[in-house]
Amino acid sequence: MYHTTTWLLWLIAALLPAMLTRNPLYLIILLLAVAVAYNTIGRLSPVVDSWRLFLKAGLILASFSILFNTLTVHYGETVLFTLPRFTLRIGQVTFLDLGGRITLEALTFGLVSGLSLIVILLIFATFNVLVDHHQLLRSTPAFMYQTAMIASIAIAFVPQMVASLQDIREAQAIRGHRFRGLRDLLPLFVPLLTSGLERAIQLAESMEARGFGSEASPQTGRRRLLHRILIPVALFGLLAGVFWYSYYSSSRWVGALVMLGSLGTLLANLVTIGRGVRRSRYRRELWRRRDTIVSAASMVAIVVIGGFWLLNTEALLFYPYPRVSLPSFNPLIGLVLMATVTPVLTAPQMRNKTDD
Amino acid sequence: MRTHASTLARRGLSTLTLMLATLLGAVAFLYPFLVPQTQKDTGFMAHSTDAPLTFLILLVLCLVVVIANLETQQMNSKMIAVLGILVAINAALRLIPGPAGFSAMLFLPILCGYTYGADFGFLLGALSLLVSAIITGGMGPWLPYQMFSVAWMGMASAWLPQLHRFGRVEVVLLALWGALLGLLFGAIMNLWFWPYLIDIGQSGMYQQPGRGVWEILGRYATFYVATSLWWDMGRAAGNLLLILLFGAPILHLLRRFQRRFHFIAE
Amino acid sequence: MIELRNVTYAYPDTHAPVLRNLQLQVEEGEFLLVIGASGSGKSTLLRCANGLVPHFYGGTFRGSVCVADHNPVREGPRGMSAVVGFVFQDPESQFVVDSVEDELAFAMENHNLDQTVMRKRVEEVLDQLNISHLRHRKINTLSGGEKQRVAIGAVLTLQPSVLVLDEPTSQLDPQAAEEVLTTLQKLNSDMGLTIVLSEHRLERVVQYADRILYLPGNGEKPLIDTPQEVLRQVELTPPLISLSKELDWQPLPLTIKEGRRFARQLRLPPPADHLPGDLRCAQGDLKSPIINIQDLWFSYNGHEALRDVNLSVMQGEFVALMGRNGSGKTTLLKHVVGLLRPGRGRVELWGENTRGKDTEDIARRVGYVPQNPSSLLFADTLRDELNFTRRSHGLDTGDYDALLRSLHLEDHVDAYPRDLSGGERQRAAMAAILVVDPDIILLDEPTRGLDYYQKRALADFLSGKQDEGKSIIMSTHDVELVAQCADRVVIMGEGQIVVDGPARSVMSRSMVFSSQINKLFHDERLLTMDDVLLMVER
Repeated sequence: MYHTTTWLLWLIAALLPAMLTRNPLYLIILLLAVAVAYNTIGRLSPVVDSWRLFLKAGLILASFSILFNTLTVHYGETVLFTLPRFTLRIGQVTFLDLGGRITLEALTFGLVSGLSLIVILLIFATFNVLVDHHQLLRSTPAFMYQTAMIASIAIAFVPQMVASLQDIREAQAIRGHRFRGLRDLLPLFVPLLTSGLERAIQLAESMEARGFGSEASPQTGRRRLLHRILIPVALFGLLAGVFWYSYYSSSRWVGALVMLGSLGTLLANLVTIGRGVRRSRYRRELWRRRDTIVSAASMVAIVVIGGFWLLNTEALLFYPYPRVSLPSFNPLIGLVLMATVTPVLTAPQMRNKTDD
Repeated sequence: MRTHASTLARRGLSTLTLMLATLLGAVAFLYPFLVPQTQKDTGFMAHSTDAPLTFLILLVLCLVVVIANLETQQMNSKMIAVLGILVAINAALRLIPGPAGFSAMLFLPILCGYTYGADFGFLLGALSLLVSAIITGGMGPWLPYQMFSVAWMGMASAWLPQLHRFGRVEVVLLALWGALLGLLFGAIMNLWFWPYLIDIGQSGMYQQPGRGVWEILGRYATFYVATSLWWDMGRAAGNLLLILLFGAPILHLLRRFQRRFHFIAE
Repeated sequence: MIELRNVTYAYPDTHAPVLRNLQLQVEEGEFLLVIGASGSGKSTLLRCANGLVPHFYGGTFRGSVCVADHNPVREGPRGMSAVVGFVFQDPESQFVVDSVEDELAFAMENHNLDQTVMRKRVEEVLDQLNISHLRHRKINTLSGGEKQRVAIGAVLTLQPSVLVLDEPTSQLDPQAAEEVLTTLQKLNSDMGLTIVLSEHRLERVVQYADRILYLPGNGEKPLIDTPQEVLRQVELTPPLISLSKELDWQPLPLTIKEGRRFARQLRLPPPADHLPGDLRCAQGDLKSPIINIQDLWFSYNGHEALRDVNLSVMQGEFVALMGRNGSGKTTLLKHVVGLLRPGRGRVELWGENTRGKDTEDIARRVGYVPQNPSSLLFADTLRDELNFTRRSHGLDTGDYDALLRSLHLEDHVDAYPRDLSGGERQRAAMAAILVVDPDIILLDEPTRGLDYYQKRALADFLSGKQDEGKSIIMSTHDVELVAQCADRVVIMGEGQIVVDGPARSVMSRSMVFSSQINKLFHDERLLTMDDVLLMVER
């Protein structure tokens, strides 16, 4: 229905605020927007639906967050009640510190952390049903084409493997083999592995016979070496930058610069490697007008939220300690969070048409 | 034509990249602890929720970097095909249920990494999780953590000395190794949501400088014991058992296969 | 188009070369059929054309190869992929993606072709091979014949000059094989594509070939000539051709149509009351049957696989189970051994209902050889495999000389079973199942991929078992084998038994399930070559 890039931008636009803020008002808006998106267009997808599992996982984690924060954090000014305190100290280090003052602030913090987790999980759940996984694999950047090939082969092989396993199970049953314990899985697993490996070699033959191989990147030795050296160099620069940023607060900009520079080098390196790969792509996803609309909305959201985050204002912040208070609300942020719903707004036009 | 020196250089570069990437991952994990307690400027609070995001981004970066490094080495078609098939099998193994943290998908990357090398083990571990997620429609924020964790298990297993000559003992040692890895990396696999729960602001505001880190570490220890330790015991036990039972025939098969098809790995 | 000069090749770690001083010239536009026993080097020879030998396998290669002015030894398989399209034997192992259209595009993506070019070629290939209706399908939902056609399409997109196929129909049933072979023939005649094909089942393809190359193996000199010439000199051939050679029909007829001309001229005695060769049809004593299936119904996934099946088999009978794919043959066999349980009705073995029994217990006396038996081999040696089966059944291990000798495997007792060649592996798997000496033997498509020698050996083995008093049910498409061995033929269709009667009468009355000899003479008495020769002698 939409281009894969559109969905990726949507994911980032939804995920960014969900991860960056604990403000319950924003989180609830986001939650509603995602739920709407799922209920309208998500349901149309034929993909295996794991939404409910995600929800369950989210609820479990949220309850854990509440418990954890309430029981181990003893700060906050509003005390609800007091439990006996249990600590385990070894020297300077406190290993366990349970009970004590149970504060409203800690409870609130646990709640909003849990809420944030639920929203994140539901965003992913919706993303899973919306995006076409095969197209996602096909959109892998060129510098990773071999890895994408492996994943593609694996996905294609799974149904064969299931059938093969069934055959093997039956064949071993005929030989009188009974399953009594873990060890009896050996006559099932080893033939599966063996036939899989043999099939792999036949597949490799078929791939080579159709031209697959190192012809795709005929870079000369020296160039390849350059690409390979640049990777650890850029990584080292990144690490140095992070270190500097964290520890030299006065000249933080140096650290940030080094980080960005290294990141840039890395990306440029990867893109160049990708350019060297001589493989074309058969499928091309269409970029429609609605993709532009939704992507634009996502970009706006990303820029606004990112802007608030970078400029260090406390707009995204909700911090219940030391005393819990009502969360702030910035209408601009609220509006921008609604960008998550845009796919729904532009989709219904298409549902009446026969083509897609 | 490859000279001995260039092969060494190649391996050296790979190892260096791997090390740096792992360091990056570790930094990402320890990010909350890295923020110094003396920071009390206004900018600090706004970034208190950065942890999950930065962690995620840095992990994904790690994975991408290591994979990019592998890709530059031009895997041949046999390796790609064999990896494809093994990834499929391992991804299916993940679906086998078991008590506590038992996971049937860890012993294959360990054994294959041990026999076929670090690149192979890494890719097998990382991609079986990715493919499993794609098939079950379960891509979530935990995915990079799991991928990294299992990939590392496969990779680290390649660095074990070859114990072939010790016969039966080889399998026992590998089983113990598997148990150890199960414990170590369970921390990464299971606790992906740790950064979402903690509060960095604590360290700066209510503790004396210097105590903040220990406070959080202590909290983490509680967290770990309460959640993951139990799970990790199950996983470690599972690995131990599976390698003890299946290790010998599978190693035998993998080695025989390598000889028979002149399978190029590493 | 293809020229091999003094080619000598040995696989790595072996001393004896598979090909020795081979000289070969294939003309442009030719349809060349390559035949020879298993292990004679057909596959190796074919792989010389696109460089898989020696690049993929290693080994020592001497001599020169030239294909359409390209040198495969120098360019390797990737370089040759646009010149030679290679299709392999196993339809399951040739696909890297799960949708048909993407698979067709794979080869072109490797060559970095432009997107418009790729689109155009995919359309062309879909039309050429008549598979446009399969375009959006997932590959694992296709039948074997459809898969192979997609595999052919996947290599045709590069517009090669030569198409080389290594036993492409050996894993397929006759209908599917028919589809594939007529497609190839059309490609050859309509497009002038040079085709080099290796095949065991000559009767399917011999009429299309311009020339036949026969590889005797063991480094002997190969024979290449017109089909009539080569078949005249080769030992094992389809019944029609063997008969023609015996009766000295010239020129050698290759098809039934050609053969009927000669058959009509043959003077045969008029039909008598007593039919020869019927003596083997074991009437059985009036004892109870050892297999008795009553009112059997079975469905899975909403699909009715078996409907009201009634079948009884006496001791010592050899029953052939025939029918289209999906007619329920395998399902029925699985019910006899207890792998599947009836939805309605009953299955009785030796008078006892199988309902309460475990499959593993039933399998003690009923041996079922499934379709890909080598998938069950996992031990280090053949002996270990046989021991495993016996121990699983709670029997003691022993020596297996008699069994192995009857299967010609006595030299391989300590070999790694998966290292054996295709035919040997199948026999090894059969040994692993029959080592408990079951009284009922069930076989599911045992002749896939076997050459004539191996089929003859199988027929001998089964006859031997029948003489020992075992009862045999064989599900197969191989009409000739049925004509040779079976007493009784049961034909199934859509889950029901359509015909059940003595082999002779059933086969001669059927259009689809009759042997070549029968189609030649339309005489109920004549099913095999021996029948004819016996009659002629009189």
